[in-house]
Amino acid sequence: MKTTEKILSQLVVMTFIVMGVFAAIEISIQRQYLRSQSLSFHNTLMSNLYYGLTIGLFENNSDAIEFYLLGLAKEGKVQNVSLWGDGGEGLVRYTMNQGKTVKDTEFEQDSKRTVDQNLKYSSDEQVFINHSYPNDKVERFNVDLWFKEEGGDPYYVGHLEVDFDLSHINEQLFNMVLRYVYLFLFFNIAKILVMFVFIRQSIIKPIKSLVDHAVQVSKGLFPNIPKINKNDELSTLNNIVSDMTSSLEKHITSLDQLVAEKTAQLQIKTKDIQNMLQNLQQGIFTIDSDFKIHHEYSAHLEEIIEAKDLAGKDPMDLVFSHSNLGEDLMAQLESALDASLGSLHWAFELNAHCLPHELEYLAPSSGKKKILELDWQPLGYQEDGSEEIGDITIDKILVVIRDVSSLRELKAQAEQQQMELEMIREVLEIGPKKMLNFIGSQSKYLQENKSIIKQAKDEQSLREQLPVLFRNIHTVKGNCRSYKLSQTVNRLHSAEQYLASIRKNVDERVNSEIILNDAEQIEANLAKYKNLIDEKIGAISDEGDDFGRVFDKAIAENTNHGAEKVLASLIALRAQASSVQIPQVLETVVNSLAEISKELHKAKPKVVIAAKGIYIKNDKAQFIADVFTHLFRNSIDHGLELPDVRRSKGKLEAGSISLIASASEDLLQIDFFDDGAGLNLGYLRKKGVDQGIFTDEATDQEVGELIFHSGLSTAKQVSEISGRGVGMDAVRSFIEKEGGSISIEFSGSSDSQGYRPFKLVIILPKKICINDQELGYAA
Amino acid sequence: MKILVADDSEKQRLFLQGLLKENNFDVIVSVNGTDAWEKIPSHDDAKLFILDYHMPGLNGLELCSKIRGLDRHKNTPILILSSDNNRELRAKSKEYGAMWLVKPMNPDALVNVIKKMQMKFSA
Repeated sequence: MKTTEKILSQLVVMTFIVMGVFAAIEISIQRQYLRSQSLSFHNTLMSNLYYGLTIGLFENNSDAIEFYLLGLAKEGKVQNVSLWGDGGEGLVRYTMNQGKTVKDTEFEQDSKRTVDQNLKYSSDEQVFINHSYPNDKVERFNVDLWFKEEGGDPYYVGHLEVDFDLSHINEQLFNMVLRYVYLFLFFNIAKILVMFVFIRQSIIKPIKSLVDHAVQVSKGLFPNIPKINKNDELSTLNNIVSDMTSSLEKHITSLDQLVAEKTAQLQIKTKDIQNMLQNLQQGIFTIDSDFKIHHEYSAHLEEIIEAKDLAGKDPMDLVFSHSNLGEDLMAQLESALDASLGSLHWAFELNAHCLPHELEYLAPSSGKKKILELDWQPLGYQEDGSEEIGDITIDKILVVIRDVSSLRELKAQAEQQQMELEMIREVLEIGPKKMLNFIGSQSKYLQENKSIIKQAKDEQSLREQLPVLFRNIHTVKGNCRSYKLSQTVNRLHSAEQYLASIRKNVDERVNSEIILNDAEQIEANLAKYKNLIDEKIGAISDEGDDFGRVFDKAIAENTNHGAEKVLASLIALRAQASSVQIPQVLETVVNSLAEISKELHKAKPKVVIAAKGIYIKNDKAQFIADVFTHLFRNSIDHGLELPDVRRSKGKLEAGSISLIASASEDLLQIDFFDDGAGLNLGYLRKKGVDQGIFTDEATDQEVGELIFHSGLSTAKQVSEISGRGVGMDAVRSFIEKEGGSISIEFSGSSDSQGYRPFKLVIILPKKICINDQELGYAA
Repeated sequence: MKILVADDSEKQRLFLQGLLKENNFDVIVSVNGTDAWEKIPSHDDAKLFILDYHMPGLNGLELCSKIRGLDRHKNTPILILSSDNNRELRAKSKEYGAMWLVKPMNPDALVNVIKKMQMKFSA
């Protein structure tokens, strides 16, 4: 509608301007015309009066003058008449008032009207009449009156001034203007009506219908808009709106479906979330920006922490103050949470390490101890126009708590079972009988340690015994390692570490409790195997021993019957049953060499055992194993070089270790050597001289003896394998206890770096073994 | 990326310097708040400030407030290191748009976050 009004008003203004200009021109022309008509008419009147009045004045004939003046008043619309003259009787003036002539002789002569030189003479041929317009409504005529007799001079007789009224012209013009205005109004009204009807029909109606349609569309209705086949803008617009409406309808309909689907999904999800929060076996809550627990938290949270109505409470008081977190960790946790809330995501990342992932929770009401696992997740909103995660401002922190107490318990049980299975596996691998023997033999070392501690009178005597204590633990460790009892080895290792450090730090007080405790623990560890064998693996039919017992009985029974030959073979069988060949004794340690060499980055050595026909008695087998466990390890650790060193010396990458045993009537000799670098005599000599053990002149033999000294290792670096500096003194000590000896025999000469090849010669009493002859094979 | 570190503890300072240099950041160290404030004009291109809270003279928060007064550093990231558990101090640091870093800090997280900042600045 506004557009129509504007168009119409513009049209009206334009018409007004055009018609106004036209009317002004027309009126001005008309005015000119009317005035000129009036002028010529009055001129004629004035000319006609001229002679009558001239004669009247000359003759001083008032009646004639009156007659003429009245005639003038009758002919024209006279407003004012003033005639004065100088007749024979002196000055006289005539004026007209209300159609009557007034003669006046008693008047002051107008100075202007005195006879002067400026008078214009009007002849018969030409009468000088001046006319002027003092204002819009008056036409003024002035004329000088002259009388002239035939042949005489003109004689000035007076002056006439007449004002004609022109108001009728103005009235006429006014009427004309009025007519124009009427015309204009009529024309415009007619035009407005016509245009209104036209606009209404061709513009407003279609627009209104479009607007109505648009309103309906905006209300979500989609009316069917008929198309118009006209080639104007409105029809095009109509058709566009029609197309738009139908495509919008399609779009909205699919959108509606989508919204309906999504709403349904959302409802399900919301329900799911509520369900989850109600039924999840997890404590879920958020800490809001006021550092309080948000009112939406999972129901299970109350169960876990054993408290109700958690909303709005401080999580520090509610949860973490009942945990095993110390004051310091609590402060860190609180700081980290508070520093993250209201800050950028980066602040969370920077402080996340202060948020614990596991803690022990002591439920205040029941006193139940729970192990809780925690997850922390910052929730936030993105700053405007940013895509970086660092720009997310954190307004809540989501905490997920799980009670893993029973899970942990189960896990511990499972681990216990796993361990037991592992132990059973170890036992079965070694053999229950062998294992029991092993445990028995190792217990001796531990027992010895225990009795040393118990008998030690003072610090000084305890310290003196440290090498023995250490040696025992070291031996047990080496043996357990050979049997791959990894758990016990770890325990032994830490016990050994303590002893090693206490030996080194001379000023430190020896803590006998630690040593005692270690020994007991290791014994307990080993006892576990024993229990396992007794309880789980069942009654071990120690066939060897049964066999032995049977034979012992048989021998005892048969002595009296003198059946010597039978007896001899029985004795031999008995001996065989109660002994074992050297390769079997060393089987475990030889098998462990592959792993040890791998740890030391060396190639697996070739082991040569030449001990045919020599049987070690069962009860000495462990002693032999202990000794050679040390020696094999020493060889690999200190003797055999790294593969590339060996290669550079022209040796095979894999070294070799040899053991050659031979039994005579009363001695068992075992030669033990490797093809490694030899003994580092240069280093040993320096060390011995430094420690004042011998002088620089000492023989190689004397220098070599140093390896049997307590507290010496030729290895530059202490390794896990051996190299604690007690290896060889322990070995000598064991051998001597059995009534044997060990010594070094050199071969060849020292190389440029002071290494000299050698072999170890071990002499043992014959009683620890049985040879073939005794078994009767050779006989 | 240039990082200005202000810490009066020599140990901490050397640690931060080593850590950041190892990760190829340009580190300017200052021994306290006043020293840092004097160094800022000649290192106006610093892209990150790491300030210890406890420093003699100007403390970390006071220095932070002065830095925020500089047009150029209205939005430069600032980390304030502290072992204090004091909500008011942290509220103040948030007000300045600084990030509070609880001691003992996690060097890996610190380097990670700085690298992310660097990526953002170069983006």
